[in-house]
Amino acid sequence: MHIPAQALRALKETVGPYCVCTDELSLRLHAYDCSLSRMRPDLVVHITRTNQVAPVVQILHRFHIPFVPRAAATNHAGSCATVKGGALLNLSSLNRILQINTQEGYAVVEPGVITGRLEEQLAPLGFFYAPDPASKLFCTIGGNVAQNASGARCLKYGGTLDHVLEATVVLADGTVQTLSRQESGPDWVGLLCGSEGTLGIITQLKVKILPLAKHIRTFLITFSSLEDSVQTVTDLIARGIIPRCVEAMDQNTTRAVESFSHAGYPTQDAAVLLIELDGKPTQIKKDETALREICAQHRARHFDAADTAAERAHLWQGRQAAYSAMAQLAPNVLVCDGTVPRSELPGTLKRVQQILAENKIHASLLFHAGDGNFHPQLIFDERNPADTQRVGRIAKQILQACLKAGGTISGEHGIGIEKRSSMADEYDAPTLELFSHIKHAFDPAGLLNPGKIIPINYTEKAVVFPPACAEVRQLQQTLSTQTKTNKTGFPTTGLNQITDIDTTNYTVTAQAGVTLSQLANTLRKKGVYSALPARSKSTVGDVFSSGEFPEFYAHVVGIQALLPNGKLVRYGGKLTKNAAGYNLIRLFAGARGSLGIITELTFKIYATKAAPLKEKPTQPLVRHEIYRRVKSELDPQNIFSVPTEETV
Amino acid sequence: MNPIRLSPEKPQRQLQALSSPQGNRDIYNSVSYCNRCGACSQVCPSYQLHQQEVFSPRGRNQLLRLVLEGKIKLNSRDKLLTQTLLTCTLCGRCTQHCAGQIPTAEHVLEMRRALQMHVLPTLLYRFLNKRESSPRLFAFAARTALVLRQLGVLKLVRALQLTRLKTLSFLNHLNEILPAKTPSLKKVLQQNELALNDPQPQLIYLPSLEAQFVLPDIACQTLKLAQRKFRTAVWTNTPSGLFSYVYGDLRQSRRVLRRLIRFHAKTAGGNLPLLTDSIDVYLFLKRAPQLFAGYKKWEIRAQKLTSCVRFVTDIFPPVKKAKTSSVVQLEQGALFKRQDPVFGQAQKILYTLFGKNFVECSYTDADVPAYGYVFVAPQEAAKIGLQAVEKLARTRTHQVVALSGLAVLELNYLCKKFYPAAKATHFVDVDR
Repeated sequence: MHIPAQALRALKETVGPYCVCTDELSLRLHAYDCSLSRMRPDLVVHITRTNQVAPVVQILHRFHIPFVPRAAATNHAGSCATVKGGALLNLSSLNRILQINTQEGYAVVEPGVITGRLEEQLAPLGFFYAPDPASKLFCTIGGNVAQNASGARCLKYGGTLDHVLEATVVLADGTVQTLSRQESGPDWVGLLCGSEGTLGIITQLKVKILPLAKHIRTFLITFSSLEDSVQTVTDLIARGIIPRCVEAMDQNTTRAVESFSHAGYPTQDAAVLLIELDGKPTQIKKDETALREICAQHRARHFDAADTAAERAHLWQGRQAAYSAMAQLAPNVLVCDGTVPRSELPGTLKRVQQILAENKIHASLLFHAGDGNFHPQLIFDERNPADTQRVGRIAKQILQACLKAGGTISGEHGIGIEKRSSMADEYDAPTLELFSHIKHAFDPAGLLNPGKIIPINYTEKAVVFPPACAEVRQLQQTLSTQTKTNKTGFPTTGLNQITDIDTTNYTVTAQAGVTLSQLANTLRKKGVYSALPARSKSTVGDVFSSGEFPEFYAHVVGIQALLPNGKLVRYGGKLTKNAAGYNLIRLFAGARGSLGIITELTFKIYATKAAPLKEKPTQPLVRHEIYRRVKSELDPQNIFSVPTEETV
Repeated sequence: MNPIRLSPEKPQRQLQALSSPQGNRDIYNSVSYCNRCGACSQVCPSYQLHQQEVFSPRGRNQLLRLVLEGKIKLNSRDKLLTQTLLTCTLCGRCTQHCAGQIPTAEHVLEMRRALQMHVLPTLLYRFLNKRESSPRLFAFAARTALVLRQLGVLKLVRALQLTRLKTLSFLNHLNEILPAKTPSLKKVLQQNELALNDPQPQLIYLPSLEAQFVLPDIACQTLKLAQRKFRTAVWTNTPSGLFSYVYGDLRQSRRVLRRLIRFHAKTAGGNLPLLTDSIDVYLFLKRAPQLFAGYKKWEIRAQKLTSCVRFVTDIFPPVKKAKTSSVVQLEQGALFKRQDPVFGQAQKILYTLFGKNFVECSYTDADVPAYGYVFVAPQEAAKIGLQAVEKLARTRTHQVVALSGLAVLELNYLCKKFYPAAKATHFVDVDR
């Protein structure tokens, strides 16, 4: 696209002449990331100070130039490809750690800070930043937030989403907005996580830091089948033991790794499991005894334990070399990413192995056995178009296998443009329409990182789900005829069924009208517990949308909600991770029902009594700029109104 | 697709193949193994300075790929393109952290050769090039230049403000890094009663340029260590071909290397270990077969030479814990590739000597640019050098151990200027 001379002049005045590049070399060298996509921008702007972002965005907005923010450009999905040309904003220079507060447990950082470097700075202070994507030595925290990245520690500590406390963002028109998790109302910070830079440009982040574990014990265990390895993890969780890390590899991977790094992994077994336990020494000892028992039950063939840093590093050596082992075999490695409910993992992995065997492709298979996330690594040569197409086709087949097992097409890599078309296989038209409304509310002109996440022509291609239950259909009917503000609300008392208690994946699915006491009683009979208090009057839907238990949001993994136009949207499921699409759980959380009616929630349950959730006093709903925009986009007629006295 | 040749008229100017862990690869294959993961960028000193893709190893590899695919033309008038190539310090940290072990420094050198870029100041290049083309003349010129410097000629040049001229500006830095006194190697060896030649040697010592002319103590110390175990012959004034490999014409580098191979083959059946005191020379000789890819006979001979190459860590005597409380660090600045076992050996020796006082730095910490990069891009090198000194100050290091004489010179200059508490020594001079 043509960049007007006036726009260039204005940009040069803002960031300096050397930071605005339109030469062929700069444009070509900003056309790629770690994915297969190559799209040349028309302009590269190097941002060197945080306060340059808003004025630059304002200029681009004024001249209607699309723009894409990026820093290290290490993502695997093409999230920072300039689909529509325009400007590429390089934020790598915003890489300062502004504050580390060990008293209150947070750090303030700029988006270009390398994740591993923050960890390195925190270590001497006795703290750590929990999200640990495999690429932490070269990916940035801003990118982690954009993709909601996570790593081996995700099962115990959660992903990036769970560790961001505050974010300053520049919206698509140049408005600067600071979003905090302290504010009542929807969890905007949560919505921003995993939005792949399509909703706003992060300029500053306040992230949670945690005290370092003093005692860690690492175990390398091998099994004769993948099922046994996954069942071991499930049983461990069933006993209330949440390991610090759980990583696994199949036999192909172990063999590739051994021939490359000679880490000493047994190559004759079907699966290798790496488990780390942390805590007090007595607790670790107790957990280890339980682990040994479970491993014996599941016919573990090899059990190795390590205490010291050097011994532990030795056990991890093979896992860390898994990517390198493949990268040296062929010019390109496509790292796929899919997540299924943990119970479905062995079956899905078998199906994936079958797909790989049918297509005669050399690949390794790594998986996070605790959260159902797996990464087949396919090797190919992108110089051969037929080879590249074949790999793309196989990757799509793998994603289909995930969806068939009730999973998602992305656990931590995001959608970008490479998985955009598969979004229509995961979500139905109303949900995809909601994604597009969210995008429109934040960026009406469609300039900020356009062409990502939402598939083209989704209304025709989107999957169709079976109709909802009678009570929901009745509510849908009422809503579709509603034209004026309804002050009486929409009662969900009829939605009072607990539809599923899954003691393999440790989730419960309850309709919004289920009371907490009903929930607690039913779960107790099954010998499981939720983190919610057993209060009689409140319903599950109430506590979720009122925002009295913000910690509960992290327990919710799936949601169904009715929109003001009567359409039912579905997001998530029995999944620990989901990085496909905007996080609707966080959009409806704490929104007081002002954006939609929650009809059903799926959330985590535990084998032992969970720590009680902290209750937050009810505060008025904050109607800031973003809230107003989203509200007017989703509910222009204010059908789901919130009394004025309950808002600020 | 058929890749474009970098020097279609004179293919001998380029390498025919690059070595990789999976065997030799032609340049297009070699660069195609870059998966664009970006692991290299965060360890690259020039990317750390600029935070721009064009100054990253990933960017440089993609540039080469675009050139070979005919999408970008190599043009010496393109300022940004030449900057992209000039800012690479050839340190090989990117290769060390790359999953595919992509030799980015070699790719950059290939592009520089295709452009026939003379990255060193012309006068300095011509002077140093003589060491390879006419070693005797060079030896004479070098000794004369050092005598003239002691007589104050350089001071006069500076007083006349001649160093303001672009062609002579390198003299300023050269004067600053050179030690005040530069006794001749022969004299130092005589003082220490060390013989230069042994009629029946068991080991050949190849002193580096700096050890021979500027820091004879390094040569003397190396010889002392070598003679503890082996009867040693010293091959003074014998270039390795590294200079023209990095700064000049590859054909000359091959010529010099062939001469060395022949010379080595003639001495005691060509099986004697060849010792060097410079990590850069060591790593270059280790990759010698790569220069002769496609010339089977010479490739085999080069492989034989490579198998004989030794570094000073190989002859280091067993050590015991030293009685010192000063903090020690190993300077790992070198050319091309840093995974070679010698780095591990050096670390192990220093750890045995200094225990907890030996500090290992983070993977992102800067090293002093190696092998004369300071004369290629003085401003870049100064910033990177400063970062390296910051690392010393942060860890409160007193002694920094370098693996080449050039690194010692550069580090001592920087320490004197910014952090006088630290002093650089060569590995052979380490305080035992």
